[in-house]
Amino acid sequence: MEIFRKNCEAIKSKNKELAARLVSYDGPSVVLEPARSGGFTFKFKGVYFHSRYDPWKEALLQYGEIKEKKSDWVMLFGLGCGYLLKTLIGEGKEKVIVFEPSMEILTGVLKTVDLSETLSMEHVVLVGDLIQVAEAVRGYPEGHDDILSYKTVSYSANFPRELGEFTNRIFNAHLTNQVGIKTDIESRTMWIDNYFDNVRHLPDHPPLDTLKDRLKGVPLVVVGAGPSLKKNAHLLKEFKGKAVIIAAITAYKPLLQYGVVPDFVIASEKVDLPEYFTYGEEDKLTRLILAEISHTNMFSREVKDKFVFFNPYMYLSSKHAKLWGSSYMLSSGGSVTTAALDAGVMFGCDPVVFIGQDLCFGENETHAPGGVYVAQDIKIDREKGTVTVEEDYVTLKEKARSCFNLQWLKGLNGKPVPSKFDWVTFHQWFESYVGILKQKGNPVKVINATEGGAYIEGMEHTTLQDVLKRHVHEEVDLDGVIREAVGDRRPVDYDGLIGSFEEMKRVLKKMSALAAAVLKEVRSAKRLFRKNGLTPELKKNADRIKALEESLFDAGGGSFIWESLVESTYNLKSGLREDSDLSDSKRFEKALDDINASYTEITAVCRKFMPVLDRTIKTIKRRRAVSANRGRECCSPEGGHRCEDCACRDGSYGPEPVRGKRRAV
Amino acid sequence: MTTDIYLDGEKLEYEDTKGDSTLKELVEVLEKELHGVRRCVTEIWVNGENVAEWMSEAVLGKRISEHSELKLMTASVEALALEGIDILHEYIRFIKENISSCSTDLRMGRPSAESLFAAIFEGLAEVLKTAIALTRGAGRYRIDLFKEDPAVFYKPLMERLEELDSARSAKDTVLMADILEYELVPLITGMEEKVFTGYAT
Repeated sequence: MEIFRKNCEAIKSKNKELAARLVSYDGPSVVLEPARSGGFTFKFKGVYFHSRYDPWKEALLQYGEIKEKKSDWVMLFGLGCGYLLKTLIGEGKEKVIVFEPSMEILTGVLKTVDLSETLSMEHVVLVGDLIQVAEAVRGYPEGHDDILSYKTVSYSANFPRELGEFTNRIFNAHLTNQVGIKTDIESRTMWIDNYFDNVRHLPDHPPLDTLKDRLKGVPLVVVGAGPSLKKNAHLLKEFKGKAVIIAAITAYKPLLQYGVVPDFVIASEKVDLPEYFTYGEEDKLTRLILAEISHTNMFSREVKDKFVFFNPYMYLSSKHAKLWGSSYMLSSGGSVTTAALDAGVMFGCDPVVFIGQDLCFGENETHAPGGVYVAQDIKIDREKGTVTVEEDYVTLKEKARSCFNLQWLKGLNGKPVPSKFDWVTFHQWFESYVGILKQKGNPVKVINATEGGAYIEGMEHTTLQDVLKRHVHEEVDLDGVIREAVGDRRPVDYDGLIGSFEEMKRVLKKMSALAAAVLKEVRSAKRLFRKNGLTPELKKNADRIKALEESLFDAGGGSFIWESLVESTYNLKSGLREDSDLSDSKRFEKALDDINASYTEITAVCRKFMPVLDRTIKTIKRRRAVSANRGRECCSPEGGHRCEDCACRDGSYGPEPVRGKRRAV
Repeated sequence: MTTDIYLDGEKLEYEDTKGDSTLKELVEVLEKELHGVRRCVTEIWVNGENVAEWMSEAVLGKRISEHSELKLMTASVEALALEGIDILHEYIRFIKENISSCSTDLRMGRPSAESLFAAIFEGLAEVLKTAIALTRGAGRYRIDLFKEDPAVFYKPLMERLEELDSARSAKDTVLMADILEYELVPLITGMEEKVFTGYAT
């Protein structure tokens, strides 16, 4: 048992869940038999998984196939006794994710074969279920890495269904990684801009966790805008007042068609979405849940209330959430319905029920009718593996046309349903999230009552009518709960915020100066290189650049600046992958060009954010004064109004000026 | 119609009064006569055509009178034995070569393993058949054909073939590769060295 304990300890460092499953497993285990050349083999379902004579030679043969193909990461389907894994490590392929589909094999092997050293390696990950396969691909390889999936003949013959799922999940997860890079590049700067724009609104709207544990045991219905919404949305009327209804912003208008005004509408898009609102009485009956990085115009929509949540993946948010009065960082899988699940769990709701969460294409639609998609035409080309969507969008005069790579998910009826990258990403997240809930012992029931679309492992699947019958009984005074919670809201720490932004400004100044020094050094190195070629003298320049870079990284270690430089970071990484064939001179010249481009951009970004930080500090000071003066007589020379909106005691008189017209999106 | 019959190029005189004697009867009579001179029939040409499957019932069962011409060729039993040994060597070489590729393909799950395996399986069956025939022939003519009695290898060979067959039925490709690579190759090599080498060289 000592070997088993050591192996479990090694697994635990990266996969606590699997380690716990192994320890508590009491099913059958394969019996290992010695191989002639040393080591072991075993029989599973009557067939051998390794040679009875020389399993190491066999593994070397398999490695021969792997090394012929380019790969940064190897995904092994099946651990067996670990021969191939150890051979890969021995041959220098040290980034390996292994999925073992059978607990019977895994426990048998781990009881006899000491793999603890291998499994402790930084880039060796062992996973024990298909959900973890996707998580591992999302967590370890990057989008631009090459992934090679490999299976041995015994595993592919004995686990064909798992192999199909394994391959599909790797493909889906890796595509998500690639899309993630694209999203990061496209969105990161806008998110930062939005955050700074929203600073003036954030004091007005309570953080979402003001409602933490305020809705214990209250059913929550999260409404997505999938095509199946039309199957059961009419039942939601009966949930009103007895459950909380959170609608994705895309589902808001479709729900109104069924006479249901959701209690909350959740939106976190970086762009403005005016077309999603009615600008009528319905808007004033619902509340908005917004991200701190939502487009700033969303904070101006006239609704009943607004709540704000903070995202852990933003440096500014994770740094400031507490100062804004929030102790909660929302976990999201990239969509507002995934965010709503985490919010619901945080509220204490039980069960959390999903409707309209198809995560796949409908017969000829992507969304339920009544929203912003007026008419749609979907063409699936199975041979090319693509989906083409043509649609009339409310704000567009002409049809919008988009094409996606076709991906597949398991449907409710067990058959594959056509999907695309973003839905697949959400699907992966849902399965992973529900798994983690269970792992943590959270008893909340998560129910998928979509009545169509993709099957989500770990959720209970039933009809909305059944949910109504089983879970929805008592009245909920939501307004009362919210009023009380908001009354207990934690105050904003203005001083802390001002201090933080001032520190950022100081860091930016230092970074800007160091970046300028790097650029100067690069220019000097270039001159020398042109004059004398690649000489030892250049090492001095290189050393100075390196020292300056280190100082710059030390100074700006945790700055939000790096997030706004995400595109150049990715470009630099791609460049490093490409230039390995260049000569030393060419590589040196290219390195200088890359450094020059990077630090020119750092300088530009520092320059961009200096005035932004100045303005932000001013805004927060004003809000601090307004907060301090609330309810007092105005002491400004103009006077004549109550100090509800002015900062007279802070030296800046009058209400906050309305800034210039916001940029159109 | 009369049939012209030749033995090694010389026309034979024969009697087939009722016209119902078969080719089989002819060969049996001739082989009895040839036994004394340590020769046997090796080829039959019917109406000018070499019939490869002449030992089959379909050929031997026919009446002599159905053919216009029959040519029978003979060879000495020593020459025949040598030829048999050569065939065995050739089979074994071919089997060993294929085993190497086949076991690799089996371990890698390549589809080509199947056809290679079938060829090996058939080759081994042929080796056994030929070796058994040679043993019998050698005994009948008192030829010292083998260094050691090949019969000691028949049982283990048969056992490996049976194991291979059941591994194939169980779709245990790793076991199939193991039997081929680590059990059959040494067995065949041993058989080759201990039984045939002396005579063939």
